[in-house]
Amino acid sequence: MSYISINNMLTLVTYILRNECKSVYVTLLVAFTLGVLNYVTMDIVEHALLLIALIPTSASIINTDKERIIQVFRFLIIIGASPQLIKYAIFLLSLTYSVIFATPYVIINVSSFLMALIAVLVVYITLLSMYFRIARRS
Amino acid sequence: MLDLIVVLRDVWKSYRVGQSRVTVLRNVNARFKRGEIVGIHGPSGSGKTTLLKLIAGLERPDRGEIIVDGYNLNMLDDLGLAMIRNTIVSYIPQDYGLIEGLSVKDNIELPLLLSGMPSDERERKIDEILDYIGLREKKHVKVSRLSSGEKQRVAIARALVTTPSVLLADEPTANLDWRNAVRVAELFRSIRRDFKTTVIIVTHDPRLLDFMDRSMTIVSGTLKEISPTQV
Repeated sequence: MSYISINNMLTLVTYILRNECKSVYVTLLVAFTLGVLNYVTMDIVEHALLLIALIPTSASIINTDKERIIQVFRFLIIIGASPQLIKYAIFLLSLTYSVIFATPYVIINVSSFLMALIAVLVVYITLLSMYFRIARRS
Repeated sequence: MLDLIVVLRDVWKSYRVGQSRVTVLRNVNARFKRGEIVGIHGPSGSGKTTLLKLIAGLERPDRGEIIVDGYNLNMLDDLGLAMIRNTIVSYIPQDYGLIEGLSVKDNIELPLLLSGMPSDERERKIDEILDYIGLREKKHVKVSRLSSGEKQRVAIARALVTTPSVLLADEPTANLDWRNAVRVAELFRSIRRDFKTTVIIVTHDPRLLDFMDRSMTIVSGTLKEISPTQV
């Protein structure tokens, strides 16, 4: 049984992104705006401000799609998706979210890579903790 | 082939509520035969849903044994329980448990995808099951656009597509009018007949009694056999 195949993971992530994460498009817009702002203001204080803005923004993106993502996690648990498969799918999903979010930063200012890394972590931890909460009460 | 498909032995389950623990199920013993349809009744909060979740391997008991199709669920890890849910037991929650943003086909296809079935076989299986529940023409319609009765039938199709030995349904007629409730109840009876699937239904609805082979009730956390007049 191909329970944890790459193909399964990619299909799951595609399903989730295609149908359940509408705010990805908004994310792209926000990221682009922030990226341009970052380019204009190369000051270290501005960097710090952007970093502070980035974390709640990542969290609020997840929050926008929260109900839809919860629905997906519940569905996956009920139909018997393995916990490993769901965790890998979450990792891929957060990577996709974060790449979309961070790409404009990295293109415009390479030193913003740290911010991109933090975005990946924030998104990953948020999604993972959501999954564990749902798994416990399913 | 085992005649007994689900066996519960001295099952206990409690939850933490604030500082204290509330025991929902105590010393539950029950046996379900292959191909029978059983109704479980009881007031809200009596532990009916918890019982279904324990049989589905979605929760673990504090004490006792649950054996499903020869598998002792206590002996399985999370991956083992996931495989049981994908192959042997299907659970239909009260809110149907579907992904509203996906089409009927996509919702039914995902459990098959996890089992690694090739795409042409998946397609054939989906068409078969949609014919069976009478929703072939809605194959590409988003679930969010369906009526409650249609959503319930799609949920049944999603649960049935992996041909499980046990089908667990939580209040399947709670959101339906009488006409749709009868249709769903008749569908469960035909599933039992055509697939030899054991159907365990948790319900408040006394009108469903006529569709059951036998009924049980949960009183003070304990499961008891009842006659129709006792409901």
